[in-house]
Amino acid sequence: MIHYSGNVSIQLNVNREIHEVVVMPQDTLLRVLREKIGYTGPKAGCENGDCGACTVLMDGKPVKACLMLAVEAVGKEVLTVEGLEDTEIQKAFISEGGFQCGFCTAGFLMNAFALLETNPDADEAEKKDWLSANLCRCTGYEGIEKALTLAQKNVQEKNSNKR
Amino acid sequence: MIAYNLDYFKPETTQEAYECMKTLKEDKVNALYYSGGTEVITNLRKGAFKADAVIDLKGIGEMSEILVDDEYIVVGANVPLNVMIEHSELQSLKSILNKIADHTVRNALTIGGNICGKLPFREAVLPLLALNSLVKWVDENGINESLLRDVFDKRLKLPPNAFLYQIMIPRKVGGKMMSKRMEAHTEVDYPVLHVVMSVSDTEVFVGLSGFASFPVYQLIPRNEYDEWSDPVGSIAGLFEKDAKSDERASKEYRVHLLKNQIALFTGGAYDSL
Repeated sequence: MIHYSGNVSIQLNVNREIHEVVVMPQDTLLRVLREKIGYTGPKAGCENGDCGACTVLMDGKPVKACLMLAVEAVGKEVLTVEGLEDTEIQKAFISEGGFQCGFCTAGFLMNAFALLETNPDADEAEKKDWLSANLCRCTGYEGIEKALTLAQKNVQEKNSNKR
Repeated sequence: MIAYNLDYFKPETTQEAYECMKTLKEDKVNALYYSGGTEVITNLRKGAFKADAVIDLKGIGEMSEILVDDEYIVVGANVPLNVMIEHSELQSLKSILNKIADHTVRNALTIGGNICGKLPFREAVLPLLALNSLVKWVDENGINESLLRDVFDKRLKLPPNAFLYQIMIPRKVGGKMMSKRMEAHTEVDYPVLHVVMSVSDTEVFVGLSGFASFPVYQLIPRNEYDEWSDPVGSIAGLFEKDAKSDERASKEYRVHLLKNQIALFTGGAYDSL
């Protein structure tokens, strides 16, 4: 049985790199990513699971890093927004202006990226279901929607060219 | 940030988990079983409840699986709601479970956590009660089994230190089941009223979440129900005493919504799930 108490050294796989970090069992994944490893892309918004600004991917699935203990991520692959460089969703958010203040952007990017990886042909209902997990206090939803639409089109084209 | 020290245990067997809890309790350590963590972490951070240790049940392999046999779909208590929603054998539950929390949270939120949590909604229990599911739980005698209806009254009533292990959902259920969920403002919110109603040859089930300070349900023998001249008023009458008023809605409004929905259900306005 695994037992962690006090300061413990764990290995976390974040953005395809292994990081050796000293954490305490009560440390959330969000705090460890930001304060111990230095990935400040995931944001501490509500820290209550409501806003989605802290969203990261855990083994390919979006999760809220504020609702997860860092020790739970041992043996998993964690991907933060820093790991999305040169992806279609990143390019589309830039070209369509999918952000205003930018605080929520990392969360939307992670969720939109995971959606297009999981189902590039997602319909409007599925897109709404996935992205309802993220809030934009600037209400910049139109740009986000346009960015997702463009990224989806580009991902679909890429996939059809591969076939 | 959780502002005090916590010990983290991750057992690999049911016996290890139970013994771990028993030992911690004997040592006066305030310990919690832990699965998805979505409710526990928030409440520990806010100080809504205190724990010195959590016992993460996700190390117990069979509690994270869905198995299908001739009679039952056996769902481990650690299975996240999204895994259930995506499972081909559980499509009748999809439109109920996919209203709980949001898509991202549902990747972590487990069926066991939703049913056993401290939040008053526990919406996932409604269809499981309607379908007359069985539950398995672990206590000092090992793995026990009973009808969910026998151990659920407002909350899951398990012996001290016991934990939910699996849920067995019957594959062949006659009749039809309907549901409707209403929120005060946005879809991603706790319900003002979530009604699940099922009608079979032998019984009528009506279960509610968000209506009272805990999930409530009633079973009405079909022959008795068929004799009611005013089924809408009669069903609402069974629940009226439990209705609550809070910042989301008044008691009167909740009763009004309930009557409306029962009228729509009984009038055939909704398709069966």
